Amino acid sequence: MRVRVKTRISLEGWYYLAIILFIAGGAALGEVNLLLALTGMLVGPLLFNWRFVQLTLRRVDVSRRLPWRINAGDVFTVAIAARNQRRRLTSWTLVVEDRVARIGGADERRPHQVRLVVPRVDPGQSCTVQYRLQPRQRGRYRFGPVRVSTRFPLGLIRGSFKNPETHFLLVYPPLGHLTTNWVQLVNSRSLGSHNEGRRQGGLDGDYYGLREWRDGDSQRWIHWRTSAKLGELAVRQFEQQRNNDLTLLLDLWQPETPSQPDLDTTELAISFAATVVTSLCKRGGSRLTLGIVGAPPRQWNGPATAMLAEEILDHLALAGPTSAVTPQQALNHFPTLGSADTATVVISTRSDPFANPVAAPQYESQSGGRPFPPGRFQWIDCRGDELQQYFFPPQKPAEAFGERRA
Amino acid sequence: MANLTLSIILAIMASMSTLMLGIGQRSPILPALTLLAVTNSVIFTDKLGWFRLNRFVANLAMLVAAFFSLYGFMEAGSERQLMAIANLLVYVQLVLLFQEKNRRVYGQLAMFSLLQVVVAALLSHGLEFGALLVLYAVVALWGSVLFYIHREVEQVGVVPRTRFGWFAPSRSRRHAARGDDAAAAIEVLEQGQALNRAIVTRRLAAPVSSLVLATLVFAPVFFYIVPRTGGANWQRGMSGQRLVGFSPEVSLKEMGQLLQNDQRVMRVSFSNARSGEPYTVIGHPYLRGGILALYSSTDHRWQQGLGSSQPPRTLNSPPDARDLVRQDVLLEPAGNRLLFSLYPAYAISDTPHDLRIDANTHHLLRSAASDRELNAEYRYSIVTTAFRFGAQLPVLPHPEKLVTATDRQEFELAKQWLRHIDHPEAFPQLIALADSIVQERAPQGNNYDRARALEAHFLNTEMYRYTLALTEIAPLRRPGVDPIEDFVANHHSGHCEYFASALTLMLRSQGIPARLAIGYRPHEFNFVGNYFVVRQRDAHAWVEAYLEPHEIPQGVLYAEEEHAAGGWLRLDPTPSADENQGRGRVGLFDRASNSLDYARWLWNDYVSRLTEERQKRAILNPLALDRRLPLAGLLDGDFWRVMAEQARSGNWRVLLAYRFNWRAGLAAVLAGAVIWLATRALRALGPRLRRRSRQTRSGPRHAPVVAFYRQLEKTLARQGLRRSASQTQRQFAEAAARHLAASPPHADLAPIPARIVDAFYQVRFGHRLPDATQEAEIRLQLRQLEQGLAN
Repeated sequence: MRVRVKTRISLEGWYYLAIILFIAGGAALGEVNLLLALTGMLVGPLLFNWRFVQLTLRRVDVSRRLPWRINAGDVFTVAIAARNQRRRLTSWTLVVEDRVARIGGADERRPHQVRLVVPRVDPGQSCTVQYRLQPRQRGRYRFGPVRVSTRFPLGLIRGSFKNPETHFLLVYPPLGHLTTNWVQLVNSRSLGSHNEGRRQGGLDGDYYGLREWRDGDSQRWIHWRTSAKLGELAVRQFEQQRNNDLTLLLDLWQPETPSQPDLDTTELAISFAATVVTSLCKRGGSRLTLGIVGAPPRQWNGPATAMLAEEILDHLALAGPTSAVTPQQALNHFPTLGSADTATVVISTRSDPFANPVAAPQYESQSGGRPFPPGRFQWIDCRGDELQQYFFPPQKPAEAFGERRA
Repeated sequence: MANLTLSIILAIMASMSTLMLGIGQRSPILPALTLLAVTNSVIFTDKLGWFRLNRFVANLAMLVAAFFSLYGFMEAGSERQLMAIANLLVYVQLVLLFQEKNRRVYGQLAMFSLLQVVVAALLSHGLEFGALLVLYAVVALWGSVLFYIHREVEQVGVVPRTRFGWFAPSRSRRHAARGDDAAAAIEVLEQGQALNRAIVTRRLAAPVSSLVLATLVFAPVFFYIVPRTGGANWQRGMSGQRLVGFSPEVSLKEMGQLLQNDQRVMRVSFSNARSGEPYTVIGHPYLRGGILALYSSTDHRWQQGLGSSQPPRTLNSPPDARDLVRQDVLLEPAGNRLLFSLYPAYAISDTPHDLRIDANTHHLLRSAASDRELNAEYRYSIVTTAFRFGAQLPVLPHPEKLVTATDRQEFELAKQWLRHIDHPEAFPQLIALADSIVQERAPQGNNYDRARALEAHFLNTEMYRYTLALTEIAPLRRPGVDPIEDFVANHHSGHCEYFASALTLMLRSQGIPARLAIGYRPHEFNFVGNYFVVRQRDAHAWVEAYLEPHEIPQGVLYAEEEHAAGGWLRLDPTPSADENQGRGRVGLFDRASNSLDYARWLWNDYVSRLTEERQKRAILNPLALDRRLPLAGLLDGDFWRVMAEQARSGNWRVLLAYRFNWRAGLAAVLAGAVIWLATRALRALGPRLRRRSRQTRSGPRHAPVVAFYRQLEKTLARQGLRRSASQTQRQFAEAAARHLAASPPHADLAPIPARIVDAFYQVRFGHRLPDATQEAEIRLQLRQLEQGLAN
């Protein structure tokens, strides 16, 4: 791409020009030849600087490398490669100014501006400079446009061009750690009880091998052909399938004028939900049903796979709270969530309306006519201490650079 | 943040600029003081950090320096005021040198250094200043580039997001290595000294050399094409030199040792007036400055004597002589109106308009010269017929043709004066000696023969001795006896004025009109520039004796100049030490000396004292091919005046045709074609040369990548760990790890060399370039190692 190099005199250049005019004026008024010679010695470098910055930036381009997706709090490296496509003339001290802004953030109009210096790019070569970035908030980040400039060799004239190309990076919510309580909560046969897990299918799971007979084994498991060959009883082994399906409702309610704790609670809920989704989809083998009550509302239902996780996290990266939905409406938003025997968890930024037994019956699904079974339903209020039973929030991102330094 | 290389270069700049000031001030004190200060500041302030002036103390010191300099500034005279300014600049610079260096201090040091050069340009104009200026430009350009890099590296980082831009406090404007806010934290990996080192490499010499070369080419072009408006008046007024030692009077009363004064008086070059070729002069020419006719025996002083009632007149045009020789004289500031020349002198087109000839004494002088002009150098060109085949003719024609009877009467009266001896009774032995010589050597001869006989008396006898040590003859001097009489009759020792005075009086005693001529007889010839260097020690006195037309030997005057007024025979009775002095075998030292002197002349002519007239004649006109090249036309005020007139009259066709020159156009087209072809050839050859260059290098593609390994070696080398020739890189890394592990503070750094060597092996032997993350990791490791070892 052919770029237009803008050339302008720098602040130091203006000072320099003033000195030249001062000396040239003295030379003209006083008819001092040596001052005129000195003027020539000062004008020459100015012109050289002007021409050199133009040549230096000709046929130079820059490109940026970014990761595909990251989580808030992660540290990653932004690499900017400057390429000199000329056949001769090395480019010296290219100043690369990159801009980073979180879209929708308070400072979107005043993005972070990072100045990097590419020491030297030889003809036909490229040179990469890097900076490390730690996004602290989820969302969409815009990188660019990049301005490349140089004032080499004297800093009197600044030549620059802008690469208007921008890149976007989706930053997922920060991930924390799920506690063993959470694992127990999800693995329990029904939420609120401690029954053994029920096996799936007509048999007792999926066949995966043979072993010798042991007391207590069902006669139906005997593999007669193998037993005949071996002369002793061999039974089939089955992988026991637990029902790890999960129905998750993320209730991102927020007051109309939220306080900082309200904002923090929302982020915590999203982080919790993201952690649950990531964990579940990483393990696989279950179904995930997720509904988000927020702006905008959204619902997913399907096998817990990496693809589903990416889709959900993409949404969670940008999901916003809502203040117009009551707890009842929140539940009624998603009448088809899960099945009757699936664990249902509501991660909410408000208190559990089912804590009041009198009020509980009114929260029935209006469309399906089927209330949420009380035993398989858990409301987690992210404002209180209850969350700590299930979730360790992510580490404070602000300490990331400092820790490494220490 | 201090940068030692930059500090050293700025220290050199400071020393050089102060040295230039010292040349202008003719004082070595400030340069010596500065040299001492910069040495100490670099060692104790910049390198060791033992001594640093804080800003308050530094400002206080600068104020004291300003008051101190103000005292000198109050003294009258622009030169003294300039020197006061120069002193102030040096004092402030000295204070700055001992401050902690940062961007501000570096900038101020550079600025003060440049201002010193500006003041030095006003105070001095010699070749030494020019040579230093060129050297200073080279150093200053290097320093400027390093300063720029320093500034640029300092600004690497996250730009603070201030709302107020330039009005924000300076601290908040500074770029930080890390930026931190609610949305994101940013850290720049490469910065500071490491980045500086990556830029300031040996390869930086190429663009800086180009910069220096471009500057040194551009500056002269700029200097010569910018039109002058005057005649380098500042240099004329500020020279401060005066020609001392020469006086239009001669006194024989002085006693004591006369010192040989090497001060340069003028440079005289001779050239063929028609061809412009240098004219080879045989022997040493007599450059006459004045004529003294009256000797007072009471105060023993020669004076002009003949008062001038007529105003000086302009010089005549030259006759159509074969050997018409041009004299170009560059006279150093003399302080008087007297000029020097070989006679007869004639005017040419280049002769200054203010040059006149005295109607009675017939010597050249400047008319209506102000004090300022008299204290400036003066350049004049005239022609003469004084030479024939390179030799100066012994007789010069009387300049007046004596056409009218009044002229002849006046001349007869003048001749009477020139035969007159004041108080002849004071010279009994001199007159008697003259009589005897004439009787003996030219009893029947004419005035020419008699004059020659008297001259020979001084030259051919060993009785007389040339000496400047008048103290030697002081005991021999007889009180009450005229010095000339005493010289002839008694001690026979003296310098040229004694010899010339004695001969003049002897000639007069024989009725021959004679006068004392004073001027210079240069012995130093610069064969590089083809000119005579005339110094004070070349001051000389000789005699001119009048000859009637019939007494002038045949062939010593050009036919056009042979007329009824007769001529003046030049007689030089002073025994010469060595006629061939200055023309002998030329040694290396002489060559160097001549070249230096010629360079000085060129510097004066074409740089420091380049005038508008000389610029047009020597630079613009040759460039303009008879001033018709459009470029020269653009620089010419007349051109624009004519253009404006033509435009007002609507005569556009004339405008288009004005000064169009086919020769210039053709030359421009040819020059353009040559440049275009050269560019094309370079472009065509460039890739081949680069390919060849690549073939000679091993693995150029890897060169930038494995630089990280070289950095590892360099870092470890600072700890005394160097890879021996027999070690592989891995062995070296293992050895380094053992060494680091053995020293407790560095134990945690021990694994780093091995990691970097792994990456190096991957690149060097696996031909796998590291990706961005690996690169970042390698840099991080190297930085940790550097920082860890530095602590």
